[in-house]
Amino acid sequence: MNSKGLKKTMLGIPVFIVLTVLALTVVVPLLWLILSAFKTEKEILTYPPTFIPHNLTLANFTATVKRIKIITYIKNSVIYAGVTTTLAVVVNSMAGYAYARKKFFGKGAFFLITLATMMVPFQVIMVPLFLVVYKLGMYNNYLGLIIPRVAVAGSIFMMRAAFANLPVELEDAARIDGLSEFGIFWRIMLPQVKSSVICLIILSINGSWNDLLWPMIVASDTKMRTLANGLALFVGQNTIQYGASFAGALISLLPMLILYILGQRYFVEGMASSGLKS
Amino acid sequence: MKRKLISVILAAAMTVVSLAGCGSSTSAKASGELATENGESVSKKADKPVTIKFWNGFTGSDGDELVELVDKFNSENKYGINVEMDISASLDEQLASAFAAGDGPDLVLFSSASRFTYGDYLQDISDIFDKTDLKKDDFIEAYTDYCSEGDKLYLMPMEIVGFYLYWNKDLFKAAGLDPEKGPQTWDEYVEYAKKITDADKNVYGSGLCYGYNYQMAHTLQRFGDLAVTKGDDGKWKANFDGNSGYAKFLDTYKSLVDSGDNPLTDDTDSMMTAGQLGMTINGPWLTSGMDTAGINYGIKAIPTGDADKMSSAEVIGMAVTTLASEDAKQACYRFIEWWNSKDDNGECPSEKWSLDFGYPTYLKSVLESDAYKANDKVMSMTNTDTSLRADFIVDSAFPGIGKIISDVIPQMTQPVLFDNKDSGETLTECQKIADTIVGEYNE
Amino acid sequence: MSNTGAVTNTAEWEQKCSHPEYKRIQMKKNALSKTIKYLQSAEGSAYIFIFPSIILLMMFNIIPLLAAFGLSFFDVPITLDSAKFIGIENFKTAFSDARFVNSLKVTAIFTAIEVPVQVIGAMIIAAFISENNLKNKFFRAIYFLPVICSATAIGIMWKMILHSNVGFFTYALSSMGLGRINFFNDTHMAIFTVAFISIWRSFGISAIIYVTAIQNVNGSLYEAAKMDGAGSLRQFIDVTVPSIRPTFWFILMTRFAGSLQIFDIIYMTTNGGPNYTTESTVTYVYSRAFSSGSQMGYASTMSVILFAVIMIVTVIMNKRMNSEDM
Repeated sequence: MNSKGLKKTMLGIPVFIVLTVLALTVVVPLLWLILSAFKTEKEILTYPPTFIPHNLTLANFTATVKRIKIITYIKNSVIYAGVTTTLAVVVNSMAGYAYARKKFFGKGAFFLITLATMMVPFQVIMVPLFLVVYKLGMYNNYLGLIIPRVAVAGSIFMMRAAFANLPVELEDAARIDGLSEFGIFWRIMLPQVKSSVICLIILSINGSWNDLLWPMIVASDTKMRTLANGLALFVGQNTIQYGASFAGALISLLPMLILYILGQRYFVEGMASSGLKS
Repeated sequence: MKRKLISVILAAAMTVVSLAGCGSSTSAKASGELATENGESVSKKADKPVTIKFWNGFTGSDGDELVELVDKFNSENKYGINVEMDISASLDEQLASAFAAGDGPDLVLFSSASRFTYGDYLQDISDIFDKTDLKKDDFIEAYTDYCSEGDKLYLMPMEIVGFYLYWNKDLFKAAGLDPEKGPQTWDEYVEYAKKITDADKNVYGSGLCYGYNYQMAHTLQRFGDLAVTKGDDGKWKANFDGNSGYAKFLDTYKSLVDSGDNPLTDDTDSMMTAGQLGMTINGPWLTSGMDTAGINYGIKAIPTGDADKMSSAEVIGMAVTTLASEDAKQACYRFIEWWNSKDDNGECPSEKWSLDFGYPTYLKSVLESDAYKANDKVMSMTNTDTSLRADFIVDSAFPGIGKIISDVIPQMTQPVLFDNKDSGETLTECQKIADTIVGEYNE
Repeated sequence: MSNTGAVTNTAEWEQKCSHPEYKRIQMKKNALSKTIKYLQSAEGSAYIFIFPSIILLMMFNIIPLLAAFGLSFFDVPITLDSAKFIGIENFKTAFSDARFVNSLKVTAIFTAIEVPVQVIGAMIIAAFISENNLKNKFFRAIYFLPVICSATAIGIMWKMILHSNVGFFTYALSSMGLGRINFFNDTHMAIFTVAFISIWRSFGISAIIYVTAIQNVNGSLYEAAKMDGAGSLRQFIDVTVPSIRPTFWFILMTRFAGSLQIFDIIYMTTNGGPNYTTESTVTYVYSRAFSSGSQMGYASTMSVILFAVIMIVTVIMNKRMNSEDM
């Protein structure tokens, strides 16, 4: 077994303490949120505040399910996140591959343009973007929801970093074997960065899953609302339904959590199967 | 010519990146569709079984009831009209995009102040009284005035939002005060606050909140009257500099914070609901939270300071957009008519809405009804003197209300509170900011 | 002239070949097949690879972006329907607008707190948890949790936990005798609170991406270093850090751009207060565009200025990056 990074020999215990403190910083607030979803509204806003619920209730969950058309919303979220992510993996890793491993005329300029799209707050380009989508006839349908969200500069950049790490020999060997350029990319190089692809998939699904503003703007048809939109309904202009918001957050978190736990396996295997190790 | 500018800029942008072909053909089609829609014959008067798009931002618990009421209308209206409602957590962004593209809602529910933002996209609906059975004189004038410009009516009132003083009766009792009597004056308010505050129990007497611009605005005008009024020369003028009422409010707030009788916080709602606040000022939505939490509270009008007796209210109303065809407009009228009329069982959605949420009514007939009179909560928030002026923070015709609330009011309270600035100097600074805003509307 | 008949003799053939029309077609064919060949080559194929992303980014990012730039020279309301060309008036206004200048300052402070933690802190933590064992997998899973939560839920959660009065954490601290800390309403504290929440939320992404990169480092490099007698700290500095440089640049630049655009966490918690100490540029832009008075033109102007700032820094970093690892 190779030692990657710092080894635990001398730093073992202090490091473990630091890692544990960080983990607690993450877990304790989330635990509070999870437990609060089972509290009554009265108990969430009581003083002194409680951590463990005095009496458990499922009222927040029933309220959530009653309020929003949860099945339709989940279906839409799955379509939105699923299709966007599938396309995003292909498009962004292709681009990242080219920027990492190919020399071509205009590369710097293209890359800079790509980067530039990362630098603008979405709120600013929102209305013009909407008009482009509208004029392309993609208003109120899944195309408008999905297509504009496929190419993401951040993902391209991430894949570029992943591909840049690979040794040149791999590519050369494949080229001698007579593989097409796309074949080299698809069959040889992409599997090497499997863990980054998984990372991209999770971030992309996660981004669309929690995306609030875009699905709302690009579709006025209520049949196209996503789960995130539905859950936003508990945060009123003047009041917040804390219990229902937390319950909703839990419901929407669950699929992500399952996905992440499944993905975690691949994060790990990504390296093991790369064939590069020792 | 709507959308001209953005089309030019978009076209230019598309040319720059030499993709002009992608958009031009479809864009012609889109505007063509629109032309026919707008040009459709105006002669048809009969009600058509159309579907209307109804947008609003009623997230939160009141949205639940709105959904039920809309469903009720859809199932029982005799015209076959279908109201398709969309509740949005980002209504402004959605409206901006929809109006820019010319494809969106027929009916919108929002603050009457929105008529200044979206005025170009709202239809005059003053003929609603001719085309439906609604009576103009059933509506309290102070509120319909809010929705009008000259003879034109842009919104029909749907709820009246006023701010009130709420007090926690149990904390009053604990402090040896009469739990049934809230403060009559601001001097009493300060006196009570000091008695109620109990640092050991983390209890504060007063709940003024710098981060809550609406609370600040409703309270401020009790001290120093309206911030923008029409001068003798017919021009708008701002009334900050030298406003002793405003200065007194700022000093009062500051000293309550300094003495520890008012928490330094941007969220007083949670504290009131948790039973940690003696008094606070807020809208009727606070009551539902306090009811679930079992808080024993009283409601009364905000004490008047140096200014004359007044009420202050924001009117939320329904507006028909320019995107609605004549048929859709008529359908919207029918929905508004239904909202404000009694059905065969004598039930009126508007009355139900008022009673359920504690919004004072804008209908004289509801004001007279027994059920309304019997409801203590809503009666304590109703201003029975319908002739009293109800402008909120600025003259109700001043279009810059949004900017006064979000740009000037925080600049009053926060420097005094956080930088220990003198209230008089702060108001002089605010006058400068306000003069710029007012100047834009005097041109 | 008709070309339907079969070509029967050489003369005719030659004649046909020398016909200008034919030559053009032939040349086109050659050019086409040359182009196809080029696009199949190692170098030329790059254009195929970047084509989909470039088209999509053009349509849905660059065009709207240019449109937004155009708007910055106009006085336009939220619905963009009426416009007055006012030249650089908006730019002049921006630089004399105390709130805008303040917002740039707030954004800079926020970035100065967030970026080093994300870039350096996450790298160090990643180094400790990159080895695949049960303990590390557990920590990785935990650190990533906030990433998959929605911003709305996180915002409400922290607002309640750190509430100045009824917050769980505030209460816990004060009952431990540490005093009552006003996380959101103290003018010196609030920006740190907001930065903390932001880091809390996305620290996991940075760490996991570093972990992925560290795992991808060629194992033989460590072997070589070990043979030279390098300890684990030396291995980290000499092998790991140089090997993951592309990832380092990625995290640095994305975090940098992200921090300068900080919005949702602030919007959900302090909304710019107290006394504008957490009003970031995008928060201010947003309030100008949507909340009051709706000055889309002015909002665009401020974004253009912010864009220019981010772009300049990015170009400099991009240059550094390219000179280092290409």
